[in-house]
Amino acid sequence: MSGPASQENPPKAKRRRWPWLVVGFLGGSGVVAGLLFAPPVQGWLLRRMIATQPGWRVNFETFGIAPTGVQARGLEFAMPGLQAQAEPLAVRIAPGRLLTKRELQIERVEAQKVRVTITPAQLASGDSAEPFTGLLTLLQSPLPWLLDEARIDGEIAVRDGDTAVVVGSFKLEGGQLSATTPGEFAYELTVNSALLPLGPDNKVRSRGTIRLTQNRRYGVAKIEIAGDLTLPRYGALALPAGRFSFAVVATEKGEEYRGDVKLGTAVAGELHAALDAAAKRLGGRLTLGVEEGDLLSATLGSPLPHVTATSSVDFEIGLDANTLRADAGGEFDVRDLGRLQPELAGVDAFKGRFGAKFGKAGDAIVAQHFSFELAANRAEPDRPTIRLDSLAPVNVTALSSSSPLAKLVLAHLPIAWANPWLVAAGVQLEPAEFGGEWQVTLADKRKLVLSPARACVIEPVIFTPSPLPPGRFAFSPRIELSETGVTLDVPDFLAESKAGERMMARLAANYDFASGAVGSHGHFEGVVPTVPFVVAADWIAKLAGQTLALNEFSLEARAPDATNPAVRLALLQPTTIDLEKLTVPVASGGAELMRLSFDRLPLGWISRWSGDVAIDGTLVGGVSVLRADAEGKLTFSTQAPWTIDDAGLTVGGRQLAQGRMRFAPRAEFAENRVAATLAEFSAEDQAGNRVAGDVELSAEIAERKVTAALTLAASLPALPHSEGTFGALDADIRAKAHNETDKIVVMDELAVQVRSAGRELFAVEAPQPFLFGFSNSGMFTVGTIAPLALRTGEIPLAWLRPWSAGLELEGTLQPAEFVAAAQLTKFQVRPVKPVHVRDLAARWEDRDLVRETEFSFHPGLDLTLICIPLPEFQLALSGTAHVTRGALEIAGRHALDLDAAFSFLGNDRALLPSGIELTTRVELAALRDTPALAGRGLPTHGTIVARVNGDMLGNEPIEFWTRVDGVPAADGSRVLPALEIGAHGKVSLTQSFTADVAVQLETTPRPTEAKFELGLNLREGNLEIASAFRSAFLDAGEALEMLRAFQPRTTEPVKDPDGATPRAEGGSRYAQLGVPFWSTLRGHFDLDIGTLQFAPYRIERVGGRLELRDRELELSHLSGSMFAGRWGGRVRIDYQPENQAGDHALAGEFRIEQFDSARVVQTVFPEELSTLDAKIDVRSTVRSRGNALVELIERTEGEFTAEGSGGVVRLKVPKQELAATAAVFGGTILLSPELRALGRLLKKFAEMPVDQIRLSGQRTATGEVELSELRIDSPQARLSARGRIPAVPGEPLMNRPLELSIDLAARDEMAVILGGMSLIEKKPGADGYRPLRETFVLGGKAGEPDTRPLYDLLAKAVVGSKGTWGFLMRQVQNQVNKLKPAKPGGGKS
Amino acid sequence: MRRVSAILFLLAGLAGALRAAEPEVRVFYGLATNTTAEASANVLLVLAIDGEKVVGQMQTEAPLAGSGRLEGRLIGGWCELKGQLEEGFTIEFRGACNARDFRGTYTAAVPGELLQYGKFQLSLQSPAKVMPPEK
Repeated sequence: MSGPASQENPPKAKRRRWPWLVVGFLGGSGVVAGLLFAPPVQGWLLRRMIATQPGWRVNFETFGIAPTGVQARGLEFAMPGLQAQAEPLAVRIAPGRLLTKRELQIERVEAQKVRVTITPAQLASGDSAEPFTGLLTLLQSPLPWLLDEARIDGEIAVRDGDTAVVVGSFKLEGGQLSATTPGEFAYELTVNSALLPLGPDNKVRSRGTIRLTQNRRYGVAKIEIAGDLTLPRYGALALPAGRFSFAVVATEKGEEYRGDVKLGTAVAGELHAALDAAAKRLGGRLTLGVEEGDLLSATLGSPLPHVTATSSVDFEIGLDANTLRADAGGEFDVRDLGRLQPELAGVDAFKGRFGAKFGKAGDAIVAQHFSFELAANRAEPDRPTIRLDSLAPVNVTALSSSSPLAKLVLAHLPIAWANPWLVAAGVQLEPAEFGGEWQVTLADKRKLVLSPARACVIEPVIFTPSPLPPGRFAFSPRIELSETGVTLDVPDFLAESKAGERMMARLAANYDFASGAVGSHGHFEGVVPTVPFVVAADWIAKLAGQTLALNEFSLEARAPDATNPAVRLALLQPTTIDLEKLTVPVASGGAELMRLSFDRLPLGWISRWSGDVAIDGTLVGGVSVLRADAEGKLTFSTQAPWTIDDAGLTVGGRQLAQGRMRFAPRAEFAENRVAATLAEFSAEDQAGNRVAGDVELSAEIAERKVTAALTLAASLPALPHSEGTFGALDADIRAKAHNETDKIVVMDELAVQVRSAGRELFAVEAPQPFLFGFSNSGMFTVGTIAPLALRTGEIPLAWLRPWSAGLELEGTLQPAEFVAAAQLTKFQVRPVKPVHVRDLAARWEDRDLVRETEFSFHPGLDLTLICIPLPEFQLALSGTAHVTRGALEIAGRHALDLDAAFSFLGNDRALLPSGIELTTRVELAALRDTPALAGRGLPTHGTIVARVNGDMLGNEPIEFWTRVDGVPAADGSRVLPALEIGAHGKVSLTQSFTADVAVQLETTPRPTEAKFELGLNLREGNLEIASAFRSAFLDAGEALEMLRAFQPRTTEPVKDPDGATPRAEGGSRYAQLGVPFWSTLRGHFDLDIGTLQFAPYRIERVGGRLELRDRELELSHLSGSMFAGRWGGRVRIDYQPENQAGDHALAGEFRIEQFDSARVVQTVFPEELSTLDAKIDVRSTVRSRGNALVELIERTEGEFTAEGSGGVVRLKVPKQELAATAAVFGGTILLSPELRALGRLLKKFAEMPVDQIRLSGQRTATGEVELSELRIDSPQARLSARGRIPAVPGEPLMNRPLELSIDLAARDEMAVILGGMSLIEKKPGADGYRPLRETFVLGGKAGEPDTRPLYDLLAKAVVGSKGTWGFLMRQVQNQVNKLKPAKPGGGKS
Repeated sequence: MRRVSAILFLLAGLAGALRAAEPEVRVFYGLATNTTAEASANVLLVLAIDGEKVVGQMQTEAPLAGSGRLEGRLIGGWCELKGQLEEGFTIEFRGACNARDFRGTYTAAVPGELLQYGKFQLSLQSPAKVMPPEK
């Protein structure tokens, strides 16, 4: 029974141990798990894990891992270059998915107040032994993972040592990342930097999205970041906001990087790169373009040329061998160089390109090749170019080579680019080119040497305008540029002119950056163009600050054929001069430092440089020396005075002086003081005019005070143009001035006096000091304490003849005196004695203008002058010139009074009249005899008072008013009514003056007046009209009389147009004026005249249009009412200057329809019954030729016709007041049958009805009216007449004598009566009328015909062949008287 | 009202001149400008015109000054007047005078000072408008 038991024991033992093992395992696991769930253990494990990485460290306040996630607080993590801290950190995962699907699902990551600190220097020093294998490899995972939500915010800092150079905040939110769906996270980043200028908005801001995409291998396969980007302002540079994107994409070989950034239109950049992990190569292309041309200006804050550029770099980095290959290149455009400096405005636009090829092997970076070219943007092979090309590879890290590294070429650079800088010198360079070639060497790392490969040649060099001849420059400048300074060495300067002058020089100069000292030495020799000398100069000098060290200096100018130099300036011993104090070291004291001497130096060559001023003479001798006294003070003294023989000064071709001059210049230079004297000055011309005196000048340099004194005395016995007038003149000038400040000068003393034979001719005196200068605002100011006095003595006007051209003046300017005062910018000149000229006579080209004339006036001036000369000359002025108590007398008669004020304003370019106040009174009688006005038609008497007032610039109106009074009529018979003309208008911007004009002629009983608008074109001088011409009443006769009174007449015979025969007609003749009588008046008037009177006739309601052109005057559409008829017509006047007989031709036609003929007579004879009473139509054509309007009217000739019907003719019975006439007229039965028949005839004649009336004739140029035909048809009588009305000046037509020869014919009863009186033919004519056997002639006046000849004829028929109408009436009266007693009842009847 | 009293005052001043004859009286009022001092003020001027002879009284408002009697002549519209004013200076008017206005220039000579220039533009006033009706 025990054997099987023992056989079962071992399994039982095993069975017993297994539970314990399980229990132990579970227990151990539980313990381990328990330990693992214990936060201290977890923390310990985490620290140990992290610490396995070198330099890594983690710390926390609490840390716990649970199946559902991780919780931590006060977490700190550090690795080289990176530190991170998080206050609370919570990560929640889904453990079920991990167990069931082997996916790590992170449901939520939340970290707040994360602080990340990056120290780039420590990052770089980390272990970099492993080459870069890509960004995405760092984000791979062993199992699929999901991130549902992440929310992280915190701060980020970049440190440089102990300083945080960048501080910012960030925020990240998003999620939904799985193996199949990309996760998207929104981010915000704001970064500030200590490197940026302070400012609330000076932060880099970006906001956008980060998109993560996984691949099937559970890693991040793509990172895409896109967002906006706002860069801070840096100084003046403010880049526009933009956008950027960056993507890292996993590829088969490694990774691909794509990025771009675009900041507005200013900057655009792109990156394309790829990582070949297997080959360990990273390569790609980076491009950058600056498209905003003004970006550079904005960056540097000053106007710079407009620059646009594109550039690219192709690179390849060997990650394992640390190699680099880069090809860089680009192009750029530069234009608007004038923005950099105005003088460069004429320089071309440039196009540039550059290229460089770099490589890095080990630690050496080598530039295999580099080039730079800047060429004018022209399509020409010879365009201006600057080019730099490398000659061999350059080790950039070593940067030292004795062999040339590069070649610098300047080609085809126009020298005319220098012209803007030569403007001030008054010369310009003609087009030519400059070029050169240098080899560039780096002697060591610190010295760049430009060695000329060939000489620079400029040819041709032509200065215009300049007396310098064309030339050629050649030189080979060598330039060394080092850290300490620049050295220029030109061993072979050559300038030669086409005229053969050659100048050679060798010179060197250096500039020390640290001290600013400039040193130079050289030698110059050659013939300077325009200077007739060989010039040689040597120098060794150095200028350091205000100290000039002269070791050697000499200058000689020698005429080619002379043994001694004409000028010699030589340094006698090396010296050092303190330019600020003008002293030399005491050690040099007492020595003679420099000597200047002249020996027959001709001066005429200076004229080639002095424009219109010609200088002549020879500086025959003179020796001056610069010496230092024992204290180191410098003195320039003259040992032998400078003497100029045959000194000549000619200005504008007029020689002003010729003679001998001598002076001894002397100057003392003491510390802070310079005193200069032009002692022993004397100048004497060949005519014996002599000036002598002293000029002294002293300056206190530190105080910046200068005092100048001038004392000159002149004896001028033969001054040009004055000798004959004044004889010998003496003059004294005494002036002394000092500057009170840098800008203000005080004139302490000023007295100028010119005398003639002891009498003062001209003087200016300042009774007290006055000052002038510039105010703090740069304005020129003058101030006087007491006014300056200006006096002129008696001066014959003949003295002015050399300057008055063809005007010969005689007369005497009487002594005048003025005072002038100034206060700041206000200046005043006032008269003390008037300007008074006596016995004035003036002739122009042998024609007397005025004689026996005397005038005087008081001139005055108020002037405000604002002058700012610097930096740009500005001048503005305004003022008023006054003339008061102006008076003119001609031949002892007062001719004119004048008071006026003329205001003006302007600047340095223009002066504009701004206002005028002028009143004048003219006595025509006195002016009339002035030769210049003789024959101009001025009346013998009368006055004109006129005034003009107003603003010439259009701000205020201008008024003109004048009154012409006391003018006699042309025939001297009476004084014409006064004329007043007023105008009120404004000057417009178009330089025209438009005015309302009112004219009034004081005619009686009703004044003539007219109103219209008138424009004066100030630019062309024309008077322009375009308005209505309104007048209620216009007495044209009186207006013409006024015109006639001012009309110039001529006594010369006037020729007919077709011959030389003087015309015999009477009437006044007028002179031709050379212009139409409407002168410069142009335009039109629309006439609106209530009554137009031409005494005694009137036209009512006159309308029409008056047009005035250059050569035509036209009156058209004339209309009106005259004698109850309709008046109308048109007139045209042509100006024909070529016609010597009369330069104006008039042609016109008039008509009066249905006018009342009786009113014509009644106008002249109001009490008279008109002989003819009918409605008549009149038509006339007129023509005339003459030189004036009044002449045209006076000499009008023409034809006229008149027709009427249905009227009455009254043949007035003579002596009709007699009872006898009444008896006959009454046909009393007591009279004889003949008398009774006569009585019946009288009744017929007294009121003879008219069927038709017709009249034609012409008016001659003398005014006579010829009646060619007058025919009156009545039922029983017909009158046919012809005759004339002679001209009677001044008489209306109706009041002129009438000579009318009448044929009378009768029929019916009248024929029976006249037949009974045996007055008519027995047989009737073809028209049935029996003509009167005798023709009778009527006299009397046109408006009041004398019918007695008709009645005398009738009387003869009654009483026999003797007797007249009066005789007959006396017979009848006697018969009537005899019959009276037989009358029953008696008494008066 | 001030102008009325001023005219009455001025007319009273002219009484001496008015005694002998019946001269034409013209009242002018308007602006005078001292162009030297660049100041303007209104001026009242009453003229008694007897043929060519003119006697006047003037009164000036602030800021200018000048009151007193003037004498001169008026010929065909040309009028010149001169007077020593109460303020101690001499004034001289020259201008054109017509039925509507009196306009021209003047000078004022102030002792111890430079001559001053001016201009004036005075309009004719109806005395009836500025004087009370007679009772």
